[in-house]
Amino acid sequence: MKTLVFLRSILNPDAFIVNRRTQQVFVNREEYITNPADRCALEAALKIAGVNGYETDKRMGASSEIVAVSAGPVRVETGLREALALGVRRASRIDLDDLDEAALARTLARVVHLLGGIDLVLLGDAAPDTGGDQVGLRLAEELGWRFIGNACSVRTEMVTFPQPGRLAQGDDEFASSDAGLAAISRAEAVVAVKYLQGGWTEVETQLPAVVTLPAGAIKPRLPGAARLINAFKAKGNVTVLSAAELGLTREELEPSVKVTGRVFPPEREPGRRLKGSVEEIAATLATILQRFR
Amino acid sequence: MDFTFKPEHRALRRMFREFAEEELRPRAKEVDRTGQVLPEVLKMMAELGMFGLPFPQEYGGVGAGDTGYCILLEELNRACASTATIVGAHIGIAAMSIYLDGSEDLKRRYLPDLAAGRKIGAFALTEPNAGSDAAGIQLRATLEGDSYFLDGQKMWITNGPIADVYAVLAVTDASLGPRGGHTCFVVERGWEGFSSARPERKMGLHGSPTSALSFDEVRVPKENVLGQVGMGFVTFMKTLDIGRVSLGAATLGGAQAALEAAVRWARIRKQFGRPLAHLQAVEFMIADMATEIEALRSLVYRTAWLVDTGQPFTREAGMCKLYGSEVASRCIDRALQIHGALGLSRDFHLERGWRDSRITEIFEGTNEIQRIVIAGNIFQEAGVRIRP
Repeated sequence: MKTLVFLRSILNPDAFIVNRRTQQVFVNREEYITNPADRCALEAALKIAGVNGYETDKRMGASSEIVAVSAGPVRVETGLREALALGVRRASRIDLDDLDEAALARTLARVVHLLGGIDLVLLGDAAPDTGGDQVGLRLAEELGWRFIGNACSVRTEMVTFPQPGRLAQGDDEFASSDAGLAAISRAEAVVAVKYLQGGWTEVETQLPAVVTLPAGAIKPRLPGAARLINAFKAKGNVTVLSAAELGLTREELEPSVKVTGRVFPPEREPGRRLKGSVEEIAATLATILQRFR
Repeated sequence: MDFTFKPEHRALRRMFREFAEEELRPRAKEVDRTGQVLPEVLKMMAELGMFGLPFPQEYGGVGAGDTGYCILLEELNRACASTATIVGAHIGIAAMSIYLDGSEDLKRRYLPDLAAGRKIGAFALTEPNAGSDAAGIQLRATLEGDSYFLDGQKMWITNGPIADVYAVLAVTDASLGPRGGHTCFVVERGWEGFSSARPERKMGLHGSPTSALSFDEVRVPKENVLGQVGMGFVTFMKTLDIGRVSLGAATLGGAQAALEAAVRWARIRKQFGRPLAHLQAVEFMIADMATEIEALRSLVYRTAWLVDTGQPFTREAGMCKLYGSEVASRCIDRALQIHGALGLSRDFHLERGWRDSRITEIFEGTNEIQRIVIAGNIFQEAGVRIRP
């Protein structure tokens, strides 16, 4: 079982303010944090791998390895080192910046192939800075893997999958025959719980798969101070992947969508309190509503 | 000159901040009301390595240096002063005294447990008749065979009721005075004749338990002499120097929290038709607070840098404690003033901060003692010795 977790570095929302009057964003300090949704994905991966507290290395067998990947300049290595402190086995930085979601998905697909043996990709459902929420789905498409979105908890287990044909049709006689037993395949599957309004649903799919989690899905753990210090002091624990190493051409990295401009949403007008009797209020309200027809 | 924190220190601060905001701040009122920091919270902190932050990893610590330790206390104290005080007394003075002057045997025996938070430490100097006059202690240690027998009282010992390991200063030879006649010992809870009294009822820091300790002919093996016989006073003063830097860092966290609360309130509270932020009286208070906090921050982290680079820092340590405690008390008082009557409400954090802050002007050497230390240090440099 090898899991890849994608970590996006975003500007700390506390580090800037949006000034509507001057139509400007003021960055008070250049401070980046790991996308909270991606941190949930990492936590899910650590839970699956059975990484427990600070015994990480001893507990985590080679069969449950986590690889953390980020894309961007050297500063994104901060998040990768924090992931290493949490028990991630390998960390790689893709040395490419300002990729749009299509190019990012293409790039990640190459990383999955290059690293090899990965059967599960976990990442946050969206990045709050760009609002981008397509990377997970596009990546599944690039890889031809199954996809589960909006997962609030993730686990893996061995599941019996009936092969298509007579077995799936519920032919009991066939199922108990030798041919029927041979048609049953047991495979490792990912099981995810998705919360819906007023309830939840549990879905499962065969690996390999891509699963996305929303921010706040799971409370991410904190790294121990000693492991944190060691992860930051160590040299060469983050490998760098270039576009050339991933075999990406200039065309493949070309953004498919171009940002032509950014505007601030219009200022909301203050509400109005209607006065008078019930009839009068209803009449005024009706006139107002008619304007929107 | 480079005033930036190292990447590992920034990462530590992020971790401490997240922990303090999520686990300490929501519990701070409860800690104040019940007078107890929950053991499970201390356990979480221990697992994150907070109890051994400045000590090398070979002794089970983290190896984050004094700078890392100051960052820890600043961040903890921003959220909960009681919790920060437990950690400060444990690391900054109790375990620190063993780390600074303890024999290799003592370090191997005690530091790993202290650094992992499996055992809590306390530092016992003050006595009923010796506070600021630390050289006037009376707790007696008599050598008989291969053991010392400790007899006497200690008072106002932070972590007294909860600690497992105590660094205790005692008189081994009254005729030699503090330098030569005082010796430091490591004493464990559970040893015959040792007991801690009930926690004191205090104005502030309700969650940081303080008590008297009683020693009734407690037998302490020779191996538990901390440092050299007769050099205990020096060990304790050296340890307090480190403690004062981190105490300065803690007060910095408290002052910063007060400033942030004042700014938030001044932005939303309207009087005379506009937010308080537009009133010059309030602006001036905010400006003074921010200026003092910035000066304190520079002083604390420069001193931590002196410690980490092995330079003398006694004078600066006194300044950290003196200036820090006064800045914090002033800032919290101003923030409370900006909040008006609301500042006195128990539903807010400020009245607790105000009560918690007062002791920082007293413990780890009163501010009057700090002024004496600083002045003595300056005159000594000028060739005048004003103290014996």
